[in-house]
Amino acid sequence: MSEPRREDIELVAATAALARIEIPEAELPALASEFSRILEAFRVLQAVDVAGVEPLLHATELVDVLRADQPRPGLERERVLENAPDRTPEFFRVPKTVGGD
Amino acid sequence: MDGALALREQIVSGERSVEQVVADTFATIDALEPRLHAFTTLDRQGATTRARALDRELGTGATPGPLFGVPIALKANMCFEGRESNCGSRILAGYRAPYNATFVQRVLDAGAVVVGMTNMDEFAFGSSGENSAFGPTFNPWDATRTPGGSSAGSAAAVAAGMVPLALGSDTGGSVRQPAALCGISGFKPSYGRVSRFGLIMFGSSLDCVGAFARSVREVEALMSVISGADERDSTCVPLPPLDAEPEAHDLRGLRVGVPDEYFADALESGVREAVESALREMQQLGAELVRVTLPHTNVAVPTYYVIATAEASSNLARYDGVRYGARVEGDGSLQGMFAATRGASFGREARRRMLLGTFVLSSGYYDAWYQRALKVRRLVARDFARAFESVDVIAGPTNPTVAFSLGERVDDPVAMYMSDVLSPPINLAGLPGLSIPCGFAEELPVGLQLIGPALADARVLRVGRVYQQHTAHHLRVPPGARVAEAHA
Repeated sequence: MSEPRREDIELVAATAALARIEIPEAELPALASEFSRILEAFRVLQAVDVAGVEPLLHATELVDVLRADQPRPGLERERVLENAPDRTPEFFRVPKTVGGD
Repeated sequence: MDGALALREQIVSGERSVEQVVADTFATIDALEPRLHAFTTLDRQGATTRARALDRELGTGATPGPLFGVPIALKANMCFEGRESNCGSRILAGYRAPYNATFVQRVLDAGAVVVGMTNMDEFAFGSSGENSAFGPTFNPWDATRTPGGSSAGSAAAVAAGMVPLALGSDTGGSVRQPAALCGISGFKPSYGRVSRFGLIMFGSSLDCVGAFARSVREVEALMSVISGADERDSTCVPLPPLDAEPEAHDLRGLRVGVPDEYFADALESGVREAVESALREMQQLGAELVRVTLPHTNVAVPTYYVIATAEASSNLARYDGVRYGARVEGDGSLQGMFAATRGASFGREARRRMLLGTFVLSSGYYDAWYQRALKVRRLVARDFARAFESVDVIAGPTNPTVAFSLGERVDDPVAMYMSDVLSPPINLAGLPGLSIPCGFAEELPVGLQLIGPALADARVLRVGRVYQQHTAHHLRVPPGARVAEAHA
């Protein structure tokens, strides 16, 4: 595997930050090399003539799929909370967000 | 009649009780699991309780459902209330679904008995089962090889005769490819034909719930049960459940498209021979072979990975340690918890895909990668639409090779991604695709893929069914499989 360029390592680090995935510093070079190889293999996409072609988001292209505006019970609170790693009787509990992040 | 259907008849006629069938099923599973590792969790107690309830129900004279008493396995990314849906990932280890997926509820309403959840590549990222956080699944035909993936366990369980039916999901080939590598029938319906409510998401515009069985007849029965509109999934096509096409004796009048691009150099010679032989068999049954071209076949692979990873990075943002799954404290801040949880709990392939997906959606790259891929996606769909102007189905190999060895590809993501041009285009275009056994190469199964236009699911299945009426490839079982004993 060739040595990754500084900018490739920075790109992977910046992308990992966006994705909220902590990556140990020591793993970044190998990951960056791999990332570059994948993008290089995918570069054929850039050569396709897409002039005048509309994006296809999903195959059926259904739009405005609505149902009757009738309220109905959702999932009960206890069921929603039952897989929580940390909780109070009524809420999910997480580290403090105010005054830091 | 075959497998699941014969089993239901035996149960309904009183020849065997559901409890006995379920006990036999677990005996088979216990004998084969140490060698195969098809399951992540087994629900012995729940299945037995249910079996007894079904036996009592039969006694009351109530009409038994179409899958009454039939054992079925669910892929571990499916919500079955109270059971663990870990998606093959450490980040969801211990997660118990608080509700039933629509397709699971329908399977239960039809009388089936869920025996457990099957092993899979983490979040369906993979084509071999090797990316499971809980260890790989082994191919029943050769334990040194993978069964394919990501629905590795579901395919292996059916191929080995542990269960007659299993559900899987197919986002880029994850039902069809393992069906081919395990020598069974696997169907990916048209996008939107089966509700995705309760299928833990990978790629929302690509994911399809699919069916595994040893015969197309059984696949048809399972598809009829799970398909049809669901108001809880707004991407569902507003159609009633699938109705199998009437019995047919041959393929007269059928125009079968054979794409030039599906028979390129990368195709293993044994696979080529088996598939070409299958095409000749179809001709003998009256089908007309027509050459077609799908020019964007090769570029469909990067198109698929750009879109699939983009959607995955968005869908998997929810795994942050807050509401379910693993939590790692990190530096004590909220963002630190997110990053530490995700960094510690995603496997290598999942992390790779999150990064790729985040990258192609990020500012400065969005147009050149994601938007561009969406446009090429339309070109891929147009290729198929154009081909279907002159043919009724398209046929070719499901996979370029037979089952590959464990460890052979897992360390080279580029090789893994680029090795399969035959599966992902069908997902991009939202088409129905069926893989059925059509022969062997090096004593390993080869799959024939049949593709139809959007919503021509019943047609594709009928063609496969007729092919199986005249051939015996789907009847071959791997050494050590317990097909006759448990589910004659």
